[in-house]
Amino acid sequence: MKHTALSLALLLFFSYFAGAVSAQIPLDAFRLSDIGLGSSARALGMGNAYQSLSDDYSAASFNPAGFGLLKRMEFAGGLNYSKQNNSTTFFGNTTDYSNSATNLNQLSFAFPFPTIRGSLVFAVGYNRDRDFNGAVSFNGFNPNSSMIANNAGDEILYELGLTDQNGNTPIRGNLNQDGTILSKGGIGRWSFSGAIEVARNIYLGATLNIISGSYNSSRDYYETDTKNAYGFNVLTDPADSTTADFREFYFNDVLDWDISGWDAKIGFIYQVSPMARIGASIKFPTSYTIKETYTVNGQSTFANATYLPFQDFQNVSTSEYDISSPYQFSGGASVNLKGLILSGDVTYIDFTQMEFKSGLDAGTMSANNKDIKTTYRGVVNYNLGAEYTIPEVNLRLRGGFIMNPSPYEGDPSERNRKYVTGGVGFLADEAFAFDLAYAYGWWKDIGENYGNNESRTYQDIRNHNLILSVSYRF
Amino acid sequence: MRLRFYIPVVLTAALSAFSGCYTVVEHPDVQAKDENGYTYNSKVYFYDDCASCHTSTDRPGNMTQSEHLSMFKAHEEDEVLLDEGYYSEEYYTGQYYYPTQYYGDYGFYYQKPWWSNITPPERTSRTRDRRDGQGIQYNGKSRDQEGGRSGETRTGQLPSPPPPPPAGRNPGGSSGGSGGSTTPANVQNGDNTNQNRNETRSSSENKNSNEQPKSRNNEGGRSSNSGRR
Repeated sequence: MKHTALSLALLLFFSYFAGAVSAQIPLDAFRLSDIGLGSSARALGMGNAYQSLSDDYSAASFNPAGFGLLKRMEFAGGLNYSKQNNSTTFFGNTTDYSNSATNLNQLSFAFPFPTIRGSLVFAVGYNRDRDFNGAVSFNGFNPNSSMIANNAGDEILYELGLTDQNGNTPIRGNLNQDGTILSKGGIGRWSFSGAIEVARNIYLGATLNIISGSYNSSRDYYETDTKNAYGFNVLTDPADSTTADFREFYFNDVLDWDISGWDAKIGFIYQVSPMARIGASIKFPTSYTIKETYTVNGQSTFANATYLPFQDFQNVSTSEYDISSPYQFSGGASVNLKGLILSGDVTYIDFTQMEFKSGLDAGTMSANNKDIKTTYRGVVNYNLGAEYTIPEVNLRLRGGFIMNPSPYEGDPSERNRKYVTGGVGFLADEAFAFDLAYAYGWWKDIGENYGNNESRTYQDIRNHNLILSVSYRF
Repeated sequence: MRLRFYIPVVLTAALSAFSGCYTVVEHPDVQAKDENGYTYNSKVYFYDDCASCHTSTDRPGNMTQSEHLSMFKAHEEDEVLLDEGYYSEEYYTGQYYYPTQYYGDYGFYYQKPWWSNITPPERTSRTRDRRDGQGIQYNGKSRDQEGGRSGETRTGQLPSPPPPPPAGRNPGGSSGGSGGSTTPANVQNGDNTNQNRNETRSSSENKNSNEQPKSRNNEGGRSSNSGRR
């Protein structure tokens, strides 16, 4: 049963090329509900243990009450570099592949309103806090199965001469399978925030996020008869003599999303003493609208012919639907020991609350929402961080750890995403803050080209993330 | 189910946020009396010096202790603030999350309000109520706008540079008579006179520059201010 639901999801993912009819899957909801590494170098350097700190613009992402701690106007901006290395083992062969991206990840302005007493702060800005950067490459000989057989009823396979009119094919395996999957994109949030000190040292804040983003995944997949298992005596379509001596099947599909949506977050911070703070926040479900374009193409090669889909083959489909992410409940505390800040956070996310809301036919929506309940689980994420300031040179050193347990029911701990982080910060002229953070993440994962453990990839993922932030307070 | 949870949380947050129970954007007007005995309302701005009027023990004459504490609770435990001024460097050395002895310039980066760098403008307007015979509503120690009491003049010179050590200050003695022990030290010492933007002088300037609304110029008490300096 392990990963049965995930396999189902991936099976569906790789099965919906039939006539380019898009089929949404629970993985789509998780992709949007997962949490990212944020956009603040200081926070990331401290392992994103920032619920009780949040005393800069990243309060919009962590705890909007933190805006109440700002006493000076702040302009901030940042860049993010991310790279994912994926070492994939497939039928005994290991293939390395990577993908990287660089993005503007923050641009913001915060304005503390002059007060006689207390604090009142407003802020507006942009955060890019999710990154869909990913890469998979695999290459191995599969003696047991074939995508052609697994999806034999699909129209495109008939058009490529790989099945007869009834969806039958003699191809059952003994093919070399290889391919690549590259994904990119991200989610950005335009945030409008405010915070107020409602009682001495107690701050409340709220953020309204307007979301925009994109996701693009492109897959190239090949099945090649490297051992001549299907020679001239085998016709994939008995009615067509040109389908003798099958050589290669190529399939390409591209999933493209235009993402929009909104959500809100509220939080509080209580400065218990000059040396300690606690904080908590609630992120309400994000309402996403997805405008999807799904494109498929393919090609088959025989000894004496090459086939492409017929010109009238509908290889592009579009759809629009809504997805709701789950609540996120976060809490944290920090202590300040003569220049050393120790901070810790926990965040609870119940991924079974993800939901396809509208835009799909009732059957697809119901099936997906039921699958979500059985496939996913609630998780508690942990964040730990430390920061030490060397006051003589206005230099800060940071370290942290992030633990994001796998959201899949029954997954082993090796599939938990783990990060160690570090960073430095420097302040010039009491106003310009430069912060740099690096996060190294590692975890294992699996993927299915089709079916359930018929063409499985075992992935060993290494993630590198670098954030540079600059802020000016005046 | 979700709505039942959502609505109370949002309402609680909104009510708390907008109840105005602590953060004060605009200080209540204070009443003062000019040299002719007329009382008027005087604005108090964010750049004014709280410590020039308030100590941890004083309170305006017609306020209850609880009212006063609710207004100035932020300061009552803050001896550094009261002694050295709201924006003095000493204020940031040990009171807050980022004390400068451990965080260097980061202490100011996080905690020094941007409005502390604002030079208080010349006072050009005020609201005046003619209340013959009513006198000042609060006791004398918190009213430094009174004309003719140069030693008690409200200064508004909070921000930077920080005021000198409060050599002449007697934090515990603010309940004295009209002499008012809450007067900032720099005023008592007679320096920084040009920064003493007392209301009387401002009103005179306004009159001379014809910036006051005509209706105000017609106030009987105003003409006697003209040329007072």
